[in-house]
Amino acid sequence: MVKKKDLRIGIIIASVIILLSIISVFYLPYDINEMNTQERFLPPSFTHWFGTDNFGRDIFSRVIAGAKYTLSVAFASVFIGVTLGALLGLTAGYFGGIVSEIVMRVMDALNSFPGILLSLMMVALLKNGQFTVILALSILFVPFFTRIIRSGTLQQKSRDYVKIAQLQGVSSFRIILVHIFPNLIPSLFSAVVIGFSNAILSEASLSYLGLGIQPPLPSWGRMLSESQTFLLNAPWCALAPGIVIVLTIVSFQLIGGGLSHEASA
Amino acid sequence: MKAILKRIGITVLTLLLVSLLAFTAFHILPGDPASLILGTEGTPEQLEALREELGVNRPLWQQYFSWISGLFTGQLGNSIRYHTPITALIADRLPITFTLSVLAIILVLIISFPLALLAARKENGIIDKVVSAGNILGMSTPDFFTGIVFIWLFGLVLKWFTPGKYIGYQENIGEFVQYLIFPALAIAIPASAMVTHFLRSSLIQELQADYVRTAYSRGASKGWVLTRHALKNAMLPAVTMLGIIVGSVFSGSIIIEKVFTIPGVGQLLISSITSRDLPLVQTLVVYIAGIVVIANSLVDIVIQIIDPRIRIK
Amino acid sequence: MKKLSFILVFATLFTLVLTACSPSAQESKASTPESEKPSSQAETVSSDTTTEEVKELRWGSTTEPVTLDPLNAGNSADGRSILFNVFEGLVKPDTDGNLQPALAESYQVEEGGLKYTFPIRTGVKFHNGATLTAEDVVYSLEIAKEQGFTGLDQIDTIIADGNTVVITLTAPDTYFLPFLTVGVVPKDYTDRENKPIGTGPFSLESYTPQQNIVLVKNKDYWNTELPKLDKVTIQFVSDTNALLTAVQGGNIDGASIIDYSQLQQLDANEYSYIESQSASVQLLALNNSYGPLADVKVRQAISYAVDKTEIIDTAFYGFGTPSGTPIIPGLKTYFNSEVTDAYQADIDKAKQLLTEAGYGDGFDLEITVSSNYTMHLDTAQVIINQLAKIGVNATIAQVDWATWLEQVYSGRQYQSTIISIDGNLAPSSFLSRYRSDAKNNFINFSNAEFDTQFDIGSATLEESERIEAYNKAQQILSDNAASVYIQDINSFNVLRKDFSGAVDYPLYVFDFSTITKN
Repeated sequence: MVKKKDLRIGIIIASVIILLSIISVFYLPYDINEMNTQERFLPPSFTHWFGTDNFGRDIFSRVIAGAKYTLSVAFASVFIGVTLGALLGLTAGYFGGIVSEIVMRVMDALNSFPGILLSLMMVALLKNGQFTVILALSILFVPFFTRIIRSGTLQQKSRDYVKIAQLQGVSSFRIILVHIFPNLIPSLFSAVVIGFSNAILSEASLSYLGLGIQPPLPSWGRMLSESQTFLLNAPWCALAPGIVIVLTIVSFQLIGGGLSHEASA
Repeated sequence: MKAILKRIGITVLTLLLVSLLAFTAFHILPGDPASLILGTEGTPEQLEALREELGVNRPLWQQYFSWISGLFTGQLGNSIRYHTPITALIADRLPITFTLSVLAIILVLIISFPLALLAARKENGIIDKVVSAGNILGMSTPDFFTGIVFIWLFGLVLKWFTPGKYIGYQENIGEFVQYLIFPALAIAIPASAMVTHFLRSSLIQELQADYVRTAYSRGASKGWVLTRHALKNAMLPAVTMLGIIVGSVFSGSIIIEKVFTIPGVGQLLISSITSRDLPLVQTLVVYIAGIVVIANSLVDIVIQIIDPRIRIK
Repeated sequence: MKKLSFILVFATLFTLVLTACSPSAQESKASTPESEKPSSQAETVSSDTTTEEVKELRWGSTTEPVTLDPLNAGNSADGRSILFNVFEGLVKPDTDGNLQPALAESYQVEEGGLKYTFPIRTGVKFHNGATLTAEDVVYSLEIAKEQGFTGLDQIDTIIADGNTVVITLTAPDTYFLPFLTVGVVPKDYTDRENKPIGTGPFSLESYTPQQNIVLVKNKDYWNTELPKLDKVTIQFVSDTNALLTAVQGGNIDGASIIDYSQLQQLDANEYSYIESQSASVQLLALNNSYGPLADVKVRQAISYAVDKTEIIDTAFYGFGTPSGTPIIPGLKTYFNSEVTDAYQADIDKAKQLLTEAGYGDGFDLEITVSSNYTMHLDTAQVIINQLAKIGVNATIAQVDWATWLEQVYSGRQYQSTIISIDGNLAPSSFLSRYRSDAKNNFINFSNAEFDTQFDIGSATLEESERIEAYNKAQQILSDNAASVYIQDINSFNVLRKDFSGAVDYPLYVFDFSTITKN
């Protein structure tokens, strides 16, 4: 019962954030780049909901404009992660043997790089920029999804319908694509959502370290690191983007948790 | 015994793969480190001499092996940016990051066990609900944001500690540890949330077991059953999480060191990335990943010794 | 201290970095076992601690020196600022910007600026205890010349005659002295990178990368009144955030802070500060060889679009001195103040110029900025807004410092960049890079008339003639909109109140020797 409520709350928060980020493409209360020295460091008020920053820019506008960068980076990296994970996981799971062993060992090795380390390594190797961030994050998800998809494939493989198809001489490629994969999709949902929330967290971390999306594009993580300087005089500059990051991640965690509960129930 | 040997074998294999991954990643890139170092002004002779010195004109497999042996002997050459030996740079900072991580792990245990026990006492009770909500929040809050909030709230507003007043361990070990407590707490929160969540579920599962009912029927109190019976059995699966915690704490410290300006391994890693000091990055990456891999397998082996019934995957 | 500059060209910073391979971080300490008085300062200071307090200043910095070698021309401005306390040349600037004899007892200029004679100060000791000789000076200057230090290429011969150094130039130059501030090292001493030995008020005790540089008092310093502190520790932190935190936390006693909002976060009861000009000019450097920027009209349009006052107000809280030329406003005789407002912000004019140049619809422009300079990043954000108004779509490419040097400064592979450039007390040090054939002409400016005026100014012995020629040269830079010269950035040298005696130079240096702890 609790989980259903979680799911609902998660969906509500996530929808608000996604809606705001879509609206931000067409309409923003203030120009996100417009600077105004008269309005530096204004605390939150009715005119500036989240206050203003050191350049007198409206933080609310910057936060909702920043959503689309964070969300699109997260989406792209999870998408790449799932695609590669599906490719590797289906192959490893279906064919098994040495292929599976090699793939899974490499995935274990990748997995043993803690958290953000692998992303940092990618960033060290490539030029700063949005594309690098996507690549650096997607590599985090490949082992995660490969493992899930492989174990799913193993389960499906032992089902009768696969055996029948094999006896009928259906090609392996076709069996994997037409028979096995569609059956895995429902169980992937919650993993994708959890991955999504991890991606948002990692993107924020990279941006905080100055290795993510480049200025002057507003990015939540970088807004946090830039405003750490004014923490004493203008804490809202850091709190606003920080709280929005937390809310976004919470909402996707709730959805992910709720979905996995639904699936197992 | 066989299982332990197998675990060691897998660990060695994983370490090899990790090093191979890091090495290839840093060597498939186009570009000549020698010309990167000399800039546009290098003469062909200088370039050749430098390539010789860096050993980059040898076959890749030779470079790989000399690097691997360097990882053990400490002969890793110099950092490009700081022209001091890589090993010395890392050795200087290791005690700091190590202390921070150990503190964080201790905090994880201190926080998560009582919370999990309290929550499990009454499933879906008010405490359980609060703890669960706290878990979600804890897992969703980036550690660097927690750190910033700590600096603002405890440092600048309440003045419980002075942000930036980091004291080296060589100077005053007490104050050194004291400064690390808030950063360690910021790292510990997400990990604690994970452990609490996990431990709570296994406790609740245990509470439904037959032996618990027997204990109740003998008149044991709920607290007694929880701490004496259920916790003991729920512990083992929770210990398996220790490996994951080590990883989370380590990667947490990379960022937290920047937030609290602690000159540890994490800061070294970040600055070596921004200055593209690739030999240093490569070595740091492998050392950090190596520590996590080894910690993971140690945990597995210890569990195996304690309770051989648990199968190592 | 966020600013870089370069005395000299093409000193590829890495050459030295590489040749310097110390066996371990600990061993890079500057104590010298082979010296007569082995690491005297370090030991005396530590033995003093039992009797009286060591007067120590902990200074914070966000940038580490590129090298500790005073004869490496590729050092950053911040690096040279630290070494200013360890090394000295024949002459040394004072706080008014005049040159005073330092290692020379006095100097004599003969034959209209062709021949310079310096009797060496007697009894000056190096940090290793050896006595300074004329040979040491000759040796050091010869290496500096080889390394390509600005201005030293004019040296024809340099000889040690007993206790005197005589320098003859290829052509007369009455403005040669400022180039002789190059640090002097002991003759044939090659381990300059790891164990720097100079004659300055402080000797370098140790350098631990990413952590600190420790300077200790030179007890044998020839000016017996200085230095007043026993020890200076220069603490390195990763960025301006960390610098502020460390000042607030009391881990450092002072630092140079640029951001006024940071200054406001400090407790005025605990800290005093001196407002100081950085003695460098911040510019939006335009690569004159890059596509649209090759057209003078486009560059002029950009100059009209960039509003200096707005930059200073928005990103620098109103602290900064606008400039329209590479020469710093502090060099009053030569600073051409007429060109400061040559391009009053005028959007319509800018648009019109763009249309004339065939870029009526605007174009894309990449501004490469080194990521360790927050102030340049802030400036870039303001400029992007300003350029957007004339349809130029500018974006920031952040690179690390090493890449910036390689790609932008040496490689000239960039479109535009924001940087501060300093010089010395000679006006030519600010202008020489714009000669068509200058090796450090990283904006690829090429103008025959400029070259002529620069040569006239450099060759003449008449002050008035030189002023006129250099003024014309600055006018030419302005007319051709070589780049957008923005301002001399102000910084605030913050110091905890129990320290006093800090002085301000019209140069990019920070002098620890006059500071006392009360």
